[in-house]
Amino acid sequence: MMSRVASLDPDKMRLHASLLARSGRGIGKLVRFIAAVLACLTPVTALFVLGALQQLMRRVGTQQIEKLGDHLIRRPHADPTADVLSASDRLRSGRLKRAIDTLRQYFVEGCQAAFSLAIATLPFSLLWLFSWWAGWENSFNKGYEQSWVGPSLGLLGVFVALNVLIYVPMGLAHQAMEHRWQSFFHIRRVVSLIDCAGWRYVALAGLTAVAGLPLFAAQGLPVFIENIRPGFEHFTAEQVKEVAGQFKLLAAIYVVVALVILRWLAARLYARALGPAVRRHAQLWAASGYEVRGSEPMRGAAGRSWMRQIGRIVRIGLLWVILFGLVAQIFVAQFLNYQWWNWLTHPFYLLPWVR
Amino acid sequence: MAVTRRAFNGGLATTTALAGGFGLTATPIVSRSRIYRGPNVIIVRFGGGVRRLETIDAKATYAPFLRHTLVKRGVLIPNVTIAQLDGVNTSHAEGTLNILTGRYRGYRDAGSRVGADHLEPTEPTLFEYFRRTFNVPRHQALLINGEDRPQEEFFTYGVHRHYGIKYRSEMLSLHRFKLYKLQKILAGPSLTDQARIAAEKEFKKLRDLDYRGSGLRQSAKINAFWDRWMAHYGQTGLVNPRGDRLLTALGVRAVKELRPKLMMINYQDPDYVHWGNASHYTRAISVIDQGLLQLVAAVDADPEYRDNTVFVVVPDCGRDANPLMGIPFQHHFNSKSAHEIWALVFGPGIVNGKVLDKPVDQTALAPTLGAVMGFKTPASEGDVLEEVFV
Repeated sequence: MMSRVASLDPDKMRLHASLLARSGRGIGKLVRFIAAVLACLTPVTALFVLGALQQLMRRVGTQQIEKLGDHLIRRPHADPTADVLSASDRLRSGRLKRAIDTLRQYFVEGCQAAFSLAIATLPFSLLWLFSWWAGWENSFNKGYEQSWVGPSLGLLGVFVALNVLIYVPMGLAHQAMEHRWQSFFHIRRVVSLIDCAGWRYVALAGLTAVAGLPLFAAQGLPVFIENIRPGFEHFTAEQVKEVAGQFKLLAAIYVVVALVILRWLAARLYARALGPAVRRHAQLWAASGYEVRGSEPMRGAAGRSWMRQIGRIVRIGLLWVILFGLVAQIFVAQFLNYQWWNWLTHPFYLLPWVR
Repeated sequence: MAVTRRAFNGGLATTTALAGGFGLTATPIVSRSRIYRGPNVIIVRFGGGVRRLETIDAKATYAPFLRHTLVKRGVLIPNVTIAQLDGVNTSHAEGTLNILTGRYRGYRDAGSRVGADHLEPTEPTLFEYFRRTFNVPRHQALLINGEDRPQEEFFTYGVHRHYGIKYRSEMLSLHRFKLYKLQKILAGPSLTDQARIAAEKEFKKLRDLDYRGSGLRQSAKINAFWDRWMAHYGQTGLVNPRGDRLLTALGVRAVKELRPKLMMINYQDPDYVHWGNASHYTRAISVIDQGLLQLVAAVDADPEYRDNTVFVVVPDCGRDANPLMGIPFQHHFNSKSAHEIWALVFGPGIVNGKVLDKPVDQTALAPTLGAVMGFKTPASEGDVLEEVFV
């Protein structure tokens, strides 16, 4: 035995070890993916997924900032060092303890993200919920005198939603990077990031609206189930449960994949926009501990600020139009297959929960 | 090879259309001088779209008067279906026209807009058959419509060349009332310029909903009906009953004041379930049930109508029973349950307390009602339900 081991080529051994490590990482990723998919099936476990996505954003954002080497300095006191310390602590502890600690962190961060997102989105989602309920309640009872109330509240909700939904991806990335739930509400800093993200942010919104289509279909498709699955009307309760389970599972797989991509892109956009934002709004970003190393000149001459202003207006207009597409999906899906909680949460702007 | 009545009629319709094109159609000889001496008929459309479960299921019903009282007075047909045919949509206008013409796809699109279908019959309706056969004034052939469905204003007559406007029914609806009211207001002398402009604007809006302008030519009897209605409820529209309760009020009042021989009441409000409040559906079923109670009470209290009125209660369409949906009550998607309805027939000459346990097609109701009233419905696809008669 000894002689066999001794006869092995050290290069081959390193290759084997590397392959083993890689396949181990691959299996680990697969297990985490399956766990995330399953966690999307209940609202409480979806918080773990939300927390994991926050950590993903922080990791991607940090890597990207380092990679860009954007002459940024961050004062140590403002760094999320607590996270670093706890990470080194985790390395010293046992596997089970590490896993429990990771889950705890996912959950805590998920709760924080859900809290921020709920504060941001409830103003419009509650308006939608109540406008829909009260509007149709009034219509059923023929209260023509108040017929304006429901539609007006709904439209007000749409207006609020369009603005909040512009904010959400960057706000969430900022919260992830700052590792504090309050950071989501650093409105001026987040707006400066959105401004500096430029047309890429419009593209992200477009991708979000397109990525919403399968979720829209997932809500609407059950309406046509008898056409999709011939004989469905004769299915037993068990068979129906099975079909419902398949629907949910597919939707959950999609939600995890879509969210990983969207949040990954948002984190990269954050990192890309951070440098220009800090340069343009140094005082604002000083509160986050950022400053520019040396005296690198700001890109973009002051003389072209009017062009920037026009570009900004056009981008906001486009963002409204694109995100209206997402809002329209929500409304049409509710017309097809109504679920009251779908006013309150959507995997892309609150809980990654699939029902 | 067996030829179904539907297939036969399909061929017949084609032949008739071709022959008609060359002026060869032999119009059936009828005598409009015939005085109608048959029973009155009241058709209650238990709309818009209800399932068997919440209506005729004894344990789950939200219509206790219908299920526990009326069923004992007639024949319940629990297995009525709307045929699964290409182009047959399980919806309100279509279902109503299936009932009125006894034929599927016996209508054409006369310019539907999004959310407001606009169908007009291409085959004769029961009203047209009836008034062509008997000398009955049009205010005694009545259609009562809901306030939210102006698109059903077109069911008073069709475009069949041998029937049509000459044999139309009258319509009672808030749309018609408002037209009458505004005509009267605009004809009045004491109107400020501002009030006149506002009234003209509203009048135009209402008038444009009905391109045939039927509402502007209501008979004197109907105008007198609206006068009395206005004297009672005023002009504001805030005093009279609303929704399906309004239809009941119009129906009861019509029985007393217009003495209809054939009347159809198009209840509609269970359809509000589309928008997510399941209670709207069940509540609306209860409201229709209470409406039935009032209508039957009004008929029973009237010596000329008591024992001389046949009721037919039938939904326009069913609704989905899709367990994958939070609110499983749609009806537009061709589900099996949306094709499943029922019917209840009761009155003189109808068997008491019978359940007709066989599959029956929705188009069978028109010829059966024709048989009750004494006229044939040659364009209908269904067969007369002989089993309901004593």
